[in-house]
Amino acid sequence: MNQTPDNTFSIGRAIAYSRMFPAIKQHLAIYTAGAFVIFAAAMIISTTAAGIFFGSIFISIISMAMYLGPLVFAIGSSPMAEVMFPATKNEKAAMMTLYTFVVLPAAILAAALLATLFARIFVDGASLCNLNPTRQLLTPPISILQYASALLPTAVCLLSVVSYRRHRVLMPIVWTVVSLIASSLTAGIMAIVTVLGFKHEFISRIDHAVPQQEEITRLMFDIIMPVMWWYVAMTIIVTAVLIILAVRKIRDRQL
Amino acid sequence: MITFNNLCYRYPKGPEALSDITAAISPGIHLLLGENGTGKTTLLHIIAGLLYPTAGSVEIDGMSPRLRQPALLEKIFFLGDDMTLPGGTALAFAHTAAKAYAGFDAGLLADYLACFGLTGRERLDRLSLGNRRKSLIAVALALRTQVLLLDEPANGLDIGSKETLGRMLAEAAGDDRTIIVSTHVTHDFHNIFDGVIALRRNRLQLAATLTDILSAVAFTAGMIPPVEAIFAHQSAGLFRSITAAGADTETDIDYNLLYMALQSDRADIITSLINSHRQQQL
Repeated sequence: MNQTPDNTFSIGRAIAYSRMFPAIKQHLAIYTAGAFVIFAAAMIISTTAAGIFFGSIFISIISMAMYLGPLVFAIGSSPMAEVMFPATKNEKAAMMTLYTFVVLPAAILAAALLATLFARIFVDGASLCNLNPTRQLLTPPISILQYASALLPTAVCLLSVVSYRRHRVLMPIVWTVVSLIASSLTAGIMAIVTVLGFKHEFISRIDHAVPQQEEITRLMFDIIMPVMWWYVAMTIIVTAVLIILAVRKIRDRQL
Repeated sequence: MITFNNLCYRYPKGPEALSDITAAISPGIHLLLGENGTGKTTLLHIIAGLLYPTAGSVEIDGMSPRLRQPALLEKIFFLGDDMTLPGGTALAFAHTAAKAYAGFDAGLLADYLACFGLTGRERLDRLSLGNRRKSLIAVALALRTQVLLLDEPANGLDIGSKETLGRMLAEAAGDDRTIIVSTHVTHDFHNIFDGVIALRRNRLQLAATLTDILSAVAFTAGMIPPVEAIFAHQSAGLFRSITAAGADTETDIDYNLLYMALQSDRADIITSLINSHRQQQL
């Protein structure tokens, strides 16, 4: 005799719900393997003359892939079958948000750590310490800044995937790119306004008649960093709102 | 038992799709009739919990589909006209569904697929419309949900497959199963229905069992329409008519004629006749 399922939260049902997205296993495997290869290549190349340039491109590829991670919920899936799947609203929302914001970033980070260990075979540890992107990823405040800024376009992508009934791949890509442009413009405007606002303080704090490049960088960092924290705080608030909207949409999606 | 209580649905920034639907649908196979755009698919979506009513409610055995609780969701499946299944093949979806739908029967799925000449390993996106429908129907029936909602299941099916589908539906019906079939192709499923739900201009025109209908009205055909005909329609040289049923009248139902009558200005007379007869019997 079949047992009637209860309506309390079940991890098993949340995992079973993930099977409604047929691309999810390949997605996780490709992302992890891809992140490993790209991070390893970025670290090895970053010790060469053109390394910074190519390393940045590689890291951008990884970032873009993470922003578009929620597309896995739009590929080969069936919104009707998903809504009708016998799992609670909370189980469905938990599965989609945890995969997007925890599982996928964790897999990419794990791949980055493995890539660091792998890169040590080819590059000496001292040069790697200064250049490797894993170290940047793990060092606050850069890590917090990067993670927070990565969450915003990812949240936009997830919200778009669960909101659109048609063009469920195209429209999330469009909105993710729009959000990236918008957040970059906001950060750029804030940085310019800050530098202009603190110009006199900046000049007064330079001791040397001919300032050293490192000193200018340090002073700019000192002035801009507090503003960047405001930017991070603002990004986190906007991201939190977007995640709440995405969760509400997953829970009460109507078709 | 599916119950509608003053159910209304209005599309966001759009027209009213359903207005003040109140009815109780007993287990059995029900034919959902109505002209295009009258809210048939919307009604099925609301029963499946895919849409929320803007007013009123729908309940299945006392539970609201709106809450989307697993205990109820595992009892309902809606097969839409343009639906796809995750996994790409009938068997891939069945593998996932087997863990979620307690009633799922893999053997039954294999049998249904074999009846349609399919294996379940065919990629749905590479199948013709008819074969894709057959795969989806086989999956939907094999889930053995308590409530099965089929929207135009015969679309794209060849003549033989429509007969097979009719047979499958008749076999799938059980004492506690409610199957609602929205279709305009009634003659292929002539003998399987236990009841009729008819919508007209976004309102419920009729929700009655076949017994209620046939004990209230009679369907006749002849060269001359009977004087007492409530509704008559001429086609192929014959007048097909609906009259009030006599005490010992026994006729077979003509769904097409009933549909035309329910869309005509005689609809109210026919429905009031059926409803008053049902109340007398109660």
